[in-house]
Amino acid sequence: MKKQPAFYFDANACSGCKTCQVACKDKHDLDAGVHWRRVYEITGGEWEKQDGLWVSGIYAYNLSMSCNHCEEPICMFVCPTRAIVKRDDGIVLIDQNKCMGCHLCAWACPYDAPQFDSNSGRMNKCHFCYDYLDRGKRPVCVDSCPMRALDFGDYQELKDRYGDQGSIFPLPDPGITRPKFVINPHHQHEMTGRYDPEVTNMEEVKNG
Amino acid sequence: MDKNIWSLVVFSLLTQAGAGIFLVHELCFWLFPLLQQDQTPAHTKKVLFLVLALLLIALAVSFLHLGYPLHFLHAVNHLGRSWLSREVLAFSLFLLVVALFLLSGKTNPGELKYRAWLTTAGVLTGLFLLYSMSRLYMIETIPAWDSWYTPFSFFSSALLLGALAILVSFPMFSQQDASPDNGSGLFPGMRILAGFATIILLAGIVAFLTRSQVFQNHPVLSWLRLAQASGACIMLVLFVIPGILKTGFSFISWWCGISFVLTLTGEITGRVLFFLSFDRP
Repeated sequence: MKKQPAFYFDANACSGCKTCQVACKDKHDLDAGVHWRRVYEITGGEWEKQDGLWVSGIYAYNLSMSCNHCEEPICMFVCPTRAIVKRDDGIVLIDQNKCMGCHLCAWACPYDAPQFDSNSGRMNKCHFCYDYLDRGKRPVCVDSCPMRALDFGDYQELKDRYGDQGSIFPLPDPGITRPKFVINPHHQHEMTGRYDPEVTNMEEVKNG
Repeated sequence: MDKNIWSLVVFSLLTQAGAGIFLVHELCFWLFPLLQQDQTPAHTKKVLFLVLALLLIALAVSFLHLGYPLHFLHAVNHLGRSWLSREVLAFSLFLLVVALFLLSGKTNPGELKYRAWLTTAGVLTGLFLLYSMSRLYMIETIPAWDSWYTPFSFFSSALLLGALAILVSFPMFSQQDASPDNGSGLFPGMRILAGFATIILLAGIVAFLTRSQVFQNHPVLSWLRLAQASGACIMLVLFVIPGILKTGFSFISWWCGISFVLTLTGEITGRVLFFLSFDRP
């Protein structure tokens, strides 16, 4: 079977320090507001009375997310210029020599992976640090994580190792684009079904 | 809302108005002999010039949306799959047909055979343009846009603005006095157009009322949009029903003009709401 690179994220290990996000910005020299990797802070719940006692139902977890180099990359399908390509090795790239900065890929991607760089006037996004991979190194976000919450490897191997949980809040139905990531959900994730969860740092993620 | 969205609001409405004006004008010319007798070549030329001007302004505005306009020639690279590529192609073809129509001078009713070819080409490319504009936004990952409401609102905007612009153009561009007393076919023809626009407006109001999520998230703009559409609808109904507005032609012209402006502002509000409805957690 053809190899497909993928990220693994362990929500139980993540402390939300955002080192992965900063390391990515540093390596790729990204402007303020451009986040190839983003850490979402999710909270929800409330105190509830059970048998006369007040019990905490409050939960919080983080989700570190970048481009998932989908099997069915909708960004590539909607792009009018054919600037977005999926290489033979499975990595989805944006060709800066073709992109005209129409933003359509950013709208279409349910993971907010393509980001608009106002300096170049074009879209860009995580390219899996393919320059590092070519030299046998690991993606910078994976290497920088102090909690070892991130890992990468062949998608099938990651799935075999960690399981196949692909949809947690706030991620969309993975059936649409078939993203290549593997997640170990936070142990409190199941509470999102009982109380409405909320992304509390949306302003930072979108514009910060 | 950033300036990128404003450029899309202006581009989409101008393009749809241009296509709508062309479609309604040719529909009137071929289907209603009542109006045909009053559609002089001079009137048709002015209407075509208006369509061309709207399309050229829309084209210029569309560049404001692009981050790197120098790469615009790549926009038709992905005709096989991307609806944006197809929209760009349809826009170019429609612009070309309108320009040819205008430059060839085949606007004289005496040259019906040539005009029929140009009309057919214009109608086909115009409809394809409106369809591809709708499909462009019907993206599976954006549930608010991936619905029947998107093509409905785009086609209805085009036909509504087209009908009302033609309605206003008759008193502005026509050489004749359209007063009900001079026996001209213009005045009844204007009533037909106003009736057509009223039906679309009513359908639009009903369709908009189904958008409960938009009302919930943007109540002020939603009520404003509803008030604008209802106001325009009431004005048009008063014109359509014979015997209510017993005033001169000049007053009727202003009445239609104000209905058009009210409808246009309603469409702008509606389009802003459409783009604001893009919402993901």
